[in-house]
Amino acid sequence: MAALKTSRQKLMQRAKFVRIMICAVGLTACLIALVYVQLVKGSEYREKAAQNQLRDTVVSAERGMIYDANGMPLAESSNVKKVYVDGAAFRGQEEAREAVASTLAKVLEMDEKELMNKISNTDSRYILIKRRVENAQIQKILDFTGTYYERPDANGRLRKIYYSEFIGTEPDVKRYYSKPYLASGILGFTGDDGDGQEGLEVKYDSVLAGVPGRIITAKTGTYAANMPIEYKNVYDPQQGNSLVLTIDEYIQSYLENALQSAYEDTQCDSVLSIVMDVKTGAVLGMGSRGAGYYDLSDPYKIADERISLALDEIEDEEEQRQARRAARIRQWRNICISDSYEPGSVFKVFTGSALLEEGLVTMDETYTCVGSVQIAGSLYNCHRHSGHGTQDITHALMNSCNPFFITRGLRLGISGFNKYVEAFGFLERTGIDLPGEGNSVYFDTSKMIQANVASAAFGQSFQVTPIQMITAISCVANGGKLMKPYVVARQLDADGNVIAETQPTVKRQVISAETSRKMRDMMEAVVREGTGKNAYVTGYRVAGKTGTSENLGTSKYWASFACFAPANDPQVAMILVIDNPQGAHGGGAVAAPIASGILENVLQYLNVEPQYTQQELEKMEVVTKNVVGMPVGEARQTLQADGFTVKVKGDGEEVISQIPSGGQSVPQKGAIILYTSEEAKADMQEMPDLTGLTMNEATNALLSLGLNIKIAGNSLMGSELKAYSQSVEPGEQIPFGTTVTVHFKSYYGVTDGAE
Amino acid sequence: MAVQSSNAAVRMGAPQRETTVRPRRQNEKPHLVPRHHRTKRTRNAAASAIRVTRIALICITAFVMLSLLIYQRAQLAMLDVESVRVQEQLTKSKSETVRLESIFNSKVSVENVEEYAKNKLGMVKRSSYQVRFFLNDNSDQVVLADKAGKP
Repeated sequence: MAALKTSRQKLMQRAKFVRIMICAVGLTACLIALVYVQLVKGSEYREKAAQNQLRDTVVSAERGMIYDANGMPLAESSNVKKVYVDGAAFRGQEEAREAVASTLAKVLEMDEKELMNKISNTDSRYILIKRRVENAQIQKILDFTGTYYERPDANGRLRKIYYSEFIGTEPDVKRYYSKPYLASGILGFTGDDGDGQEGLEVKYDSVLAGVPGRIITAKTGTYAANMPIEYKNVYDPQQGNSLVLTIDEYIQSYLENALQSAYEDTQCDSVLSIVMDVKTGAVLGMGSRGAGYYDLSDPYKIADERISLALDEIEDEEEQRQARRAARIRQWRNICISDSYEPGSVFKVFTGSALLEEGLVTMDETYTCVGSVQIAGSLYNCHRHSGHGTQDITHALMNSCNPFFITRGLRLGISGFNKYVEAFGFLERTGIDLPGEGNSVYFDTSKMIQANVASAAFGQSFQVTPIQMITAISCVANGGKLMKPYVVARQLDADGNVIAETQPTVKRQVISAETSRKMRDMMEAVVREGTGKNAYVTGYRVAGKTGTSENLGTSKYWASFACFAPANDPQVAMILVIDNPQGAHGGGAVAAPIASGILENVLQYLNVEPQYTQQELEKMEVVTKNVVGMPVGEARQTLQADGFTVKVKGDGEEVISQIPSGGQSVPQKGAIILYTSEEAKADMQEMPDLTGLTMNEATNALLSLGLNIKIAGNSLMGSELKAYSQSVEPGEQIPFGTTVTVHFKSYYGVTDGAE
Repeated sequence: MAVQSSNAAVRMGAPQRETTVRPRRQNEKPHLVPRHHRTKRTRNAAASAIRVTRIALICITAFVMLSLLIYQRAQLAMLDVESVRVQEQLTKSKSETVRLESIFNSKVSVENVEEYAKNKLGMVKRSSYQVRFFLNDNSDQVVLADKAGKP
């Protein structure tokens, strides 16, 4: 019995042991598996689980805005939608396709046939119809997708098929440009993904773009719907920073209007202009035509009408396609900074500065120009073949005498001359904060010979960029400091706080303040009495230099004018370059008058105080008195006492209307028309053509017709001035007493052609 | 008179019953006082009732809490949907504001303003000589620039 008990116990113990061992082995296996899954494969499975269970939605950051100097928005972004169609859903549903094509074509203003062809692709689940569709149009599409049509199914029962099965929308971004053509060469545009492509949009892309955010939510397995209450983690997007430019909308507008007129009037290949703050290097305006001008909201459209017409005339399709592509790239190009041109006589300013700075020329030293000079076996002609006679450096600059600057320029020697070429910044990029800046095309300084210096001394045989030129002119104007130009004044964060501000940077002192003063006086004389007289602006002391340079190897010329004002305390500098003007091609004849118009507007806008000479004051306009309601005799006496010429129209006894009306400015001795009957007011006068007339001739012609003349603010002096532009077209019918603005310029003594 | 046997077991927690022995009267037949079976049952029943009540209370509380939880989650979901809807509405409104601002700014461009002023209102652009400049030395008086000896 005892033995039995013992063996039973032993058996039970063994069984117990086996059970424990089985459990232990199982547990160990579980532990090993757990460690393997948690530690070894843990990160991989967590990632897979996240991919399976979580939805990661990118929240795009709002792109920063671009403002002008006065805070006017020039570019800002907005969230819109893009519209797509599920082509595969149209299988066997032709009527749905027709309805969708018809509706979308109407709403999105697209061609219905083209759209129909586009959505006929039944293999594609995603056919992009249009991008950047605004909310009003989207709402119409959503209203349409909420409707349905009925179709019998396989059992013959009518089934509702909603149009939402075929049309979908996705988020998209649109960049708005409030003035699409203004400063297009500077602003640039964004691409389909909202990233910068040209101009400031690409240069400051990282600043403007911001950082996209993310929303991570749990999602269901079947329908992949979001379950934000289960899990939601939001990473807010960082809005892009904004830019405040130095570009002033008003100055830019004046500039662009003048450039458009110049482009049309001269039929040139291109024209450009830059306005800069002389003391800081801030660019106040920069524009061009013939290149660097396009519609920012539709940059792929050829904006230039002349170029567009020329492209339409190309018959060969492939050739036309290539030409269009080249034209698009050209129109995006900011030629103010990227292209170079021969500076011509404007460069004499820098040759003269170098000579004065080195003491190689004095203000009294004279030279006799006989019309040409021989240097190292080469003959260099002056543009005045008979020669300018004896002149000092001031008159040489006023006359733009080539031999003077050639002979004196050689005194600098090759290294001396190149030292100043480099010092004025003509051998390096200016560093302006715009993409695509070009550089000058200059001689190999290690291989230069005397003949090169002779050519370069009067601005021939090498090329500089317009931005280099205006920076150097500003240097001469501001006391000799070479400034670094810039267009972005400040960067703002999303709340409008300033996070970065551009400080004016002085690159180096090139010439002394004394040399700068002398050059300013000389350049003022150029405008007052020299080749730049067409740039004179009444009441303002303008200093400048004209330039006419030949495009060597072609029959084309560049006409240019560089200036600054006021000469005694320069505030702004300006440059204007016309490439291949048709007809007259001199800088003094063509470029200076246009520059003068821009400068007058800019100086008035900046409230620079005018300083009139006595002669100018005498020719000022007078404000008319209001004589409406007075008896005719009394009215006539009142006006004649002020020096006006009075003409009465009608048989009435009382003045019922007057032109110009009371309070308007009329030139002294101008004509005022008094109407005494309603019928008389219907009388009109035909505008004559005043082109080529002198000031006196034009004034008398208009006064005799009962019209008034306003002489444009360029110059009130000089009998050689002739009319070249009038505000009312010849032949147009205008009321008596109308004031017509007439522009005058001189064709005498403004030639400066470099030959 | 209560007699307590020294050997009587005393149950912990159970109320002690006092056994009173009434002195027997002559000719009185001894009779047994039946033990209180109902007391124990009652006790058990009471305990059982308390347990049931407790469990019921816990269940009800749990049910209420669960209901509240579900309700709140439903509210959260609805608020989330509402939040998304409002956010979309805000985005749409912002987008419309930008579009309208852009149209407005283009209408008030320098060219449009000048053209309207000249052609519609008959205005004339001011000439530079129509602006008078005054010297201001931060006092109450001003001196005309041309009277200040300026050229």
